[in-house]
Amino acid sequence: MGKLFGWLFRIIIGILVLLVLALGGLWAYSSLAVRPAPEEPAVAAAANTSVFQAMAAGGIDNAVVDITPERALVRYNLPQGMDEAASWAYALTVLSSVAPYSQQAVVQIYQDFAPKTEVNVGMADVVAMMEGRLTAEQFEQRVRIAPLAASSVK
Amino acid sequence: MQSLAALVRERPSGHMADRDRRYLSLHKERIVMAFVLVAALVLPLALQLTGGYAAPPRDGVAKEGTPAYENVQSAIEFLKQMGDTEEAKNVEEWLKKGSISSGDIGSNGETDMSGDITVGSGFIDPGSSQDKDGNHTSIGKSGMNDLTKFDFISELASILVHEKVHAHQSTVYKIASNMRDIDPRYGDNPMELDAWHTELVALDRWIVNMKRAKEYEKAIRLINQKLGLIGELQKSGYGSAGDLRYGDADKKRLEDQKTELQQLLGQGKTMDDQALGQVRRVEDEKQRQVAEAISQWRKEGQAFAEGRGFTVALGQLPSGPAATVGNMVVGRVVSISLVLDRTTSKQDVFTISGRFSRDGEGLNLELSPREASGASLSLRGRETTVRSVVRSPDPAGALLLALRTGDITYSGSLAIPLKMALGVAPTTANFEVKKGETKAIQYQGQPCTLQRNALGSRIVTLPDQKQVVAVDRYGGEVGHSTTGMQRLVAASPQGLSLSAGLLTRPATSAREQGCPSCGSAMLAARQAVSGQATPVRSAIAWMRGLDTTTRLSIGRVR
Repeated sequence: MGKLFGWLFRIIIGILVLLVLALGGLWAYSSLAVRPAPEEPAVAAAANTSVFQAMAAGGIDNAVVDITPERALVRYNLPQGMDEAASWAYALTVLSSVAPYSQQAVVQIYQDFAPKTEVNVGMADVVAMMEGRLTAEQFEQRVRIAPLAASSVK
Repeated sequence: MQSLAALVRERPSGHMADRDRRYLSLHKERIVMAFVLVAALVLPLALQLTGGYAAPPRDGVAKEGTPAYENVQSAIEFLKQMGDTEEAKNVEEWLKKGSISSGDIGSNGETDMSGDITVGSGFIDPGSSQDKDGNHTSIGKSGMNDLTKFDFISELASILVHEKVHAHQSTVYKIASNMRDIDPRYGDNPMELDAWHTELVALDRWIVNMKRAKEYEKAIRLINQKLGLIGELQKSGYGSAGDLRYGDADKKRLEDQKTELQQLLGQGKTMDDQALGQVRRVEDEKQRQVAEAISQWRKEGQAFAEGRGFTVALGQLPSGPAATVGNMVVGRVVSISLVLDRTTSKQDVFTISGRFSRDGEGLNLELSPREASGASLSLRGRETTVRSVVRSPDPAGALLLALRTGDITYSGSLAIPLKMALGVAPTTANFEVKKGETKAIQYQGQPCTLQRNALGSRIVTLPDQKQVVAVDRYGGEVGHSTTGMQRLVAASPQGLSLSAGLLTRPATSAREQGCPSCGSAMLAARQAVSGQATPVRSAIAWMRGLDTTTRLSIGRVR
């Protein structure tokens, strides 16, 4: 009787051990299965759309807008016959109206997709000048207008 | 406690039978404990994996002889008295097949995907229902007064009428309804509008019946019930503008009726036939309007579902060698099947359904099992992920991918089998594309191309070759753009954020929206600069001179 119970005990233990091993193997296999890496999804911003819309209504279509707390950027192809200075003055006005909270305002002007000019200025200066707290001369000293290199995005 | 291995090592050698007996008598307690421990750890898992998990008794089912069963029978009798014989027969059928349960669900009633109804225990089996000796019993046998009994039974009947509507709605209709509910473009929920209005119409009929029977106190009780229900419907958010067929005007009408009935009761008078006829005409007209609306919601829900092709999405996912994970998450309704052993056809064992609930950390899918198997599964994901999965052209594949990537996490007793099934189930990654690769796909029923843009975002180019849509890995729409904008992004992608060049709506729509002040402002800027020797200075002078109204108007462009 005792011998039988002993063998029965061994068999049960053996079955349980095999079961645990099989489950462990399957668990390990499922853990090691190839998983796609986590991904930060892109999300369209409402402010981008507002700037795009205002630029299009001003005659500058397909403007690329990228607004972050650090800088509000608008990039566009200069339409034929449009004066460059008028275009960036208008773009700065739009950026300061839609995203006054950004620290920097950046306007990147392209001609037929080739980089041309970049205008860079503190957003606070744009707002202060438009509100009359900064003179045109003071603003002119603070705005940086330079040729745009192919990879010069701030 | 000593380990099992240590116990085996300690086992004495010598004559087997004697020593075994001695060994067992010495260590009997420890062996039994170790055995119980291992069995407790391994057996539930093993049973679950083989689909053989022994279901505990379904405590909540309204079984014959229980107070809940008797209360539902009373509600059936009430429905028959009210002339709703079809509903009565139908509820009776559900009761007899064990598809009506009592549960602590935090609402009046719920119906799962298989049509089983759970009624809140406070309504189907109230704790206050006690006999003279304080024993819990059915409402009919309790010591409550007749009007209180009437309140409980008529309310239970109205809940059952509501839930029976859901029980007969198709899965596709339910899915479509819940999708519309979470989609801001629609915001209505046809399946709920249908059920709520059917319940309200039933109450209308019952009120008229009570008036005809000169049971004015009961009619007042039903009016109170209906007033509460209309208030709840108004707060529910199930309807978008103009959907609700009951509102403040009806509440006023009901309050007037109540006052009239109270006066009749106070004066000991009865309602004359002319007044009763007038009430019936008003109620008949209301019922006609509601029936028309219900028919319309059903049509809309069905058309919406057919437009989305949900019937296809509800099909099986490609099966793996040992496991299949399906089916889908849509709107608030979730249905996932874990088929762990195809040879034993245990598909239904793990079919579960649930609802979304909101908390501070995104959307949480709390699931309840279809069968009372004790199985549970809770899914959690960011709202954006869940929405993407829901809106994906392949929701089932997207859910599977989200579970594998960990974008949607899971817990509960089904977590282990789900993890194992995910390990072997193949993934259909329709929106997976490498940088520089162009893939032909079907998107919104059109042949499109999919590629990564310069920033690494997935871009679907529509057949017109001008409009593009940015999608996430599940195919969910994350923004709109144009080929021209994407070319500008590609000109110098360094430093741009992932949102660069993405719009919340198609460019054509943004252009059409326009901006009245923008055109004239730009014209003024061009005139100010044109032909000037110092264009920069002129441009700045124009900016400085721009009036506040124009600036504010540009800032308000949406």
